[in-house]
Amino acid sequence: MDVHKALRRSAFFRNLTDEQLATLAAIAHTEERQRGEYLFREGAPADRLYLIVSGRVELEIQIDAGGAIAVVEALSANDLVGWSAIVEPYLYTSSGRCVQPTVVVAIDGRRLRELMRADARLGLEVYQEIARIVARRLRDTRLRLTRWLHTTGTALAEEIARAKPHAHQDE
Amino acid sequence: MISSEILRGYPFFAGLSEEELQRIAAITEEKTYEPNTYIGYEGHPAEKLYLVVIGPVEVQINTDEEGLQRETVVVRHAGEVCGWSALVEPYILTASLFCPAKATVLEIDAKAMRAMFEENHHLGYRILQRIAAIASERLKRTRFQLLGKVALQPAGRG
Repeated sequence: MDVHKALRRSAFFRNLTDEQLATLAAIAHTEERQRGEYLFREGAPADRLYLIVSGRVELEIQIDAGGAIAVVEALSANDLVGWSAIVEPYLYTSSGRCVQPTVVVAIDGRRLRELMRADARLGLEVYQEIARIVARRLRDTRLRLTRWLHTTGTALAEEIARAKPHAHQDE
Repeated sequence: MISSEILRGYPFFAGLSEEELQRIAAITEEKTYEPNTYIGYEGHPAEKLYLVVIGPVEVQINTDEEGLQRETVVVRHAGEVCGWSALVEPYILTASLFCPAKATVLEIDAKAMRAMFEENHHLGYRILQRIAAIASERLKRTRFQLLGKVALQPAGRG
């Protein structure tokens, strides 16, 4: 898969000029990953961001010291992962695991940050898109988890309600 | 309109020129909120970016679908920023902003600020770079907050 073509196809880079896109393609390359491989690990220095060309990547976070993990997102073709590479403090906030054979375009985070500093228009464009993605994931995360809590909470309340008559009988 | 000197004290604006600060100061107003009042509600249009002068301001998210229960995800103190959704499409508050005590904030007209970004890319780049970092931190905290609640639920469900 041609890097330039993959970048052009992504909605994320839709507002870039041909010249900006060519510059970006020069600091990127494609990678093929096996099922089960990690693109990056939570807490590690974020040096690359990835555009998924095909396959599926799940984002996992560790929820306790015992190593229990939770999947917080599932991403596929044309999604961008690993944006921590260009957002302070440049540490991955989750682990990205390929749950299918996956092809990605890997973009060098440090060099992208340099490009954005030198070309403020590009910088503004990219950060606007990143902020949009973060805001959307924030909304999705909250909706998904509150829905989950709601259904579990209701089930729990029903269970308690069912248990009550017996409790009265015991008295 | 406030003095640009006040803005200079905020790390959020570090690296901006005097002219840039003056232009932002011209679209900024100071406002005081009474104890137990909301500056804004999750899901409502986000029109202002807020700088906390006297805090705290609690950033709260709804934890039920009806929006009747809220929990604090993060507390913003003097010198910090909240209401970043006003600079990010679709310009809808991703959380409610609550003042538990009397609070003073600087309110920046976000629409006017976004128009400035179109003319001055450098300014937009610097501000959005910081907004991306604040939003990313919020996402991280929200995941932990909600997953913490999920982990407390009885096992064997979901």
